Amino acid sequence: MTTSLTLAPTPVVRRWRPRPGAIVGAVMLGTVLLLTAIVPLLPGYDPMGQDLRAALLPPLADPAHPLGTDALGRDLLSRLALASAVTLGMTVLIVIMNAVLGSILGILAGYYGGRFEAFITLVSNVTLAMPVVLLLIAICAVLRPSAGLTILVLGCTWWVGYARVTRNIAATLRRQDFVVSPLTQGADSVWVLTRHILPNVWPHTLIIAATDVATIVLITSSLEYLGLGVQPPVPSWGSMIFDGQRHLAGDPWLALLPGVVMLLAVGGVQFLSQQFTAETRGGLLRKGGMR
Amino acid sequence: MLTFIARRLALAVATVLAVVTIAFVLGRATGEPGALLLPDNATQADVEALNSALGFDRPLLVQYLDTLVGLVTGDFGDSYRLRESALGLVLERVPATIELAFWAFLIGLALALVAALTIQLSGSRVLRAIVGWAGALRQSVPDFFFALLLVLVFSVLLGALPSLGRTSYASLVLPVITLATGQFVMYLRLLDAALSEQAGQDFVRTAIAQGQRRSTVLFTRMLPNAIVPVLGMAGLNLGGLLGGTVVVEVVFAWPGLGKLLTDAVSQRDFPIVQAGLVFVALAFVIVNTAVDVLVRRIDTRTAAA
Amino acid sequence: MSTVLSIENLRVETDGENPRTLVDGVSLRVDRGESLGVVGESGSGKSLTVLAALGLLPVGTRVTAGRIVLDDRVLVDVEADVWAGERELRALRGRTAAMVFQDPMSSLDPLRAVGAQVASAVRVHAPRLGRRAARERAIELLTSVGVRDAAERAATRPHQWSGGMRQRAMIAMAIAHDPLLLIADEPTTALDVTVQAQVMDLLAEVRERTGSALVLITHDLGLVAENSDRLAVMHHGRVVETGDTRAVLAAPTEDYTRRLMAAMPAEQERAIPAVRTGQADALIAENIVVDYRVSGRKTPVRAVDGVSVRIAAGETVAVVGESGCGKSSLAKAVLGIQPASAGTVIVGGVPVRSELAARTAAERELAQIVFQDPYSALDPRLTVHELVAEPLRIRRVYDRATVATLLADVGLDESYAKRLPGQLSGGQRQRVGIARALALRPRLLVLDEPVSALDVSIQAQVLTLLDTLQREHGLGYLFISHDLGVVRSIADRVIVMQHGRVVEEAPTAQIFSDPQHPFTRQLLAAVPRLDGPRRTARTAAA
Repeated sequence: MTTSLTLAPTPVVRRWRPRPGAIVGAVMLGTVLLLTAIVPLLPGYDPMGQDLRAALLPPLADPAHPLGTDALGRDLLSRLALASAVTLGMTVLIVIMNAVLGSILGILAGYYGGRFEAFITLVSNVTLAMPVVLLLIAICAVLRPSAGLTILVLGCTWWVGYARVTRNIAATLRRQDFVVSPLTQGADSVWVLTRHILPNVWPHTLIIAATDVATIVLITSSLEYLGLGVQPPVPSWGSMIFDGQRHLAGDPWLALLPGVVMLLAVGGVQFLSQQFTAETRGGLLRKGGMR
Repeated sequence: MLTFIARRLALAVATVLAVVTIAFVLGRATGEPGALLLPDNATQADVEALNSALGFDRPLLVQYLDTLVGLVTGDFGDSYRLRESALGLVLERVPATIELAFWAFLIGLALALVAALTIQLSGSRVLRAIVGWAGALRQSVPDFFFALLLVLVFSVLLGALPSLGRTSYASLVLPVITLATGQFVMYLRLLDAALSEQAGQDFVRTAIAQGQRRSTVLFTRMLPNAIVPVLGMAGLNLGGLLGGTVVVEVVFAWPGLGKLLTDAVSQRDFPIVQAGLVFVALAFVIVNTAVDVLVRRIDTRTAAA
Repeated sequence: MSTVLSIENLRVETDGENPRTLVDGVSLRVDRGESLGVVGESGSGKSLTVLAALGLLPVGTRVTAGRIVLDDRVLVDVEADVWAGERELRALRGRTAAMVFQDPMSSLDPLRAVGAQVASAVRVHAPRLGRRAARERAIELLTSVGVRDAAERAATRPHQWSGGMRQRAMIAMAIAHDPLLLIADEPTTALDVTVQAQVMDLLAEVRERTGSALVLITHDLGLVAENSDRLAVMHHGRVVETGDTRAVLAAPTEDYTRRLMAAMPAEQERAIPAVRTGQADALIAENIVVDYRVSGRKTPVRAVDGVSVRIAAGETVAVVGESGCGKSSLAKAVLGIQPASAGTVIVGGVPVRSELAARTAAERELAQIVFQDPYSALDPRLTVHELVAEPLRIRRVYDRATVATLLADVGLDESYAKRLPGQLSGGQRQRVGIARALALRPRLLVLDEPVSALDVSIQAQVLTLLDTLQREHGLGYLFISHDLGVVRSIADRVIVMQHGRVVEEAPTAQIFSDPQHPFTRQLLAAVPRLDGPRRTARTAAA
């Protein structure tokens, strides 16, 4: 892969003009965030308590369990709220770890160049050339799966995207006249990095992070679906869907509800992040007529 | 060009080495197989005997070098459970996985191409918006959940298609749809972005100003220029496709490489995991190297720069 | 004489709820075989006007009023609600009217062989011509526009062609069907002056052959003076003056035309030199050598090969040459941005090391730079005040009043202090760049093409400002330029560079009155002038 990336103009937050997609996205994500915030405050909140006599209650059947119960009689609404908090919390942590790590490595590589850049480029090329998801599955499986391990492994390996983009931007910025200028006036690298490079790079990092949230949620929940990640009895979207799968014929809501919550969260983030990225999308081939 | 290929091959070797090393470290990190494989009531002597039979009593460096030699000779040891050549077991499952991945890639890419070209030719922003929204929704759910939805509709409710195993062509349908829709959305986005970028290029305006048809411009000017970067991405996305295949194989109990690997992982059958990872890495690296060389050939500008 | 293209009361607006008017009430007429020059600064709507004539307006803009008639066919008549369809336009594009665009690199498909692109331009309107015949015709066309070894070169892709050659290929495509009208949109702006002259010669020559009329769109009055019969001056989307080129230029009636003409580089040298005696020289650079390492090549490329420059305090020395001659590398070596691999640099009497990183902050202060591109020179996130304050903050001598004085010196009042670069015009940005460069009171100012990105009327203002500042502060100027015309009014001495070496060095007056080196003469002859000779096929052949 050759990396010839021209510097996109630094995104400037302009007049806030929400598009329909952004509003839909905000509503979707807001619903999930509300769920995680409010449900634990309700009197019936109990994600772990089993009650085999009240197992597999359908939604709306029992006021004590508005969304029904699972095969062990645990309250689905409570479990969904906890699962959302767990998965979203893990995702945010992982994304922040990668964004910080990747951006620092990328900026330093792009700015200083030389051997460090060559090393970072080699590491990212090797990482890109590996079936990463497969390796993650293997690593998480072999090393006693847990939420902490997932965070650690994903948090330290998914930074290549950030590093590549920030490296390119930093390398382009380094040659920009407004970065050269302070150097000719006696500034050192720290001055230039903190005052000119970093402020012009981080909006790009933010954009990648926004789209990355969706990817990380999908990967972590795939790991959870395979039983690698958050361990029972703590619920997660992936493990809830896996458990619900067994009851797909009779009680499909067990698998559907966590899926819908995930759809709301990930879709919400996607629509919201398009608010920033769709602007850069180019046009269509112009129609040939005069009008 | 030759130096480029040489550099690219060096990278490929480095990548495979990295995967082998990770696999090796993982294999040792789980602990010695004697303790893992034998029943709890086995004696210490039994455990040591098994460890030494499997070569685990040698120094780590020797074991590592042995693994590297095995990589060259294709000998990854025998499966702990099945007492068969690990590589043989892996190769046995490869066709089933390739079947899934190939159809998903082909259908996804072909439909994406048709859709992207239709959007450009019709110039319809509405069409693009509809496809975009549907795509965003598909990308908001993981493969395994989309697969469950398909099973729920087509197997449980309609009873039209099988939801498990690899018995007939019909059993291909649901797993392929699951993977192909994901591929479709991804390639549609890449192609649409690439074509839209081309639509604003000066040479496109030149061709229009010469009186070329819009369709001619689209197919002979915009498409070749747009497909080059997408081609470069296709190799890299193979990794994502393989990762998706693993999960989908588990959902549909598809007897492929992914199922084999996840089973081996849970049974701590390390030779299989190692052989599987290295095989996938090799295949992945070969495809990527080929794609890079191809892109380089098509786009000679990068060679000149 | 019949009319080829007539545009009446054309209005072009942007789409959307609050449309902006880009072209308003423009009327132009081009007669058979004649040449019309359309002159204006950036944003004057000159390109949009002619793009509209072929239905090539960029996405997001459209015709909202007026009438366009090409070769007796009504393409647009907004009042009568006549709109030509794609099919009708396609038949005209490339056959009745053909275009030559500004940037020949981006205007050619990078993945297709140049010959194939010419052949496809041939086949568009001659579908029955076989592939082989079309290819032969393409080679014929390329040969006719002066591409040597056309048969071999036709198989290569655009990146293997030089800028001038690519523009020749563009012209070959444009004349494939002997169009009634050639539209050239800034056809030489991306090219060196000597190449520009060759391309304009070629355009004159092919028009002699095909009898095509020409619409020449340019910001350069000199180019229009030498290449057009009639002239239309555009400003803010309107035609402000039109008429016979010679007559208009001899006696312009409109104020704006006069301003444009006044802004043309002066035809005389600066009257009063600003050199100060008794001060250390601003710059003594001796035997500077600059090498670039190119990946994939063992030997480095030598950009500057033993050049010496001496600039007294208050003196302006211009270094002139075409792209790739090493003039910018020389400037970077003086500043240490691109370290010289050999030679010595003494700035304001202080010897400095070749590498910027090895220079102390006090040494770096001595030489400052004003960049060519006012857009990339300023951090887009900082206010004007912060931009000018930065060097002071670096040296810990920040003081609000100093910044205000600096801004006042370059003609920017307090109201600009809080603005961002995005809210400034190109000329204003360049003033900020100059204020920033002066903040640390340097002895030498390196001016790297400081006005070449600016419109002509702005160029003159910035040059005047530079002259004033030089007299005030006794600054030495190293003025890098590709344009001999620009340096005439400001330089005391001129150094002409070619292939990394100095080919001629002389006082400005002498360079212009008595150039010694053939390359200098070639450069001088290529600069278009208001009173330059009318270019015809005959002069082109000579």
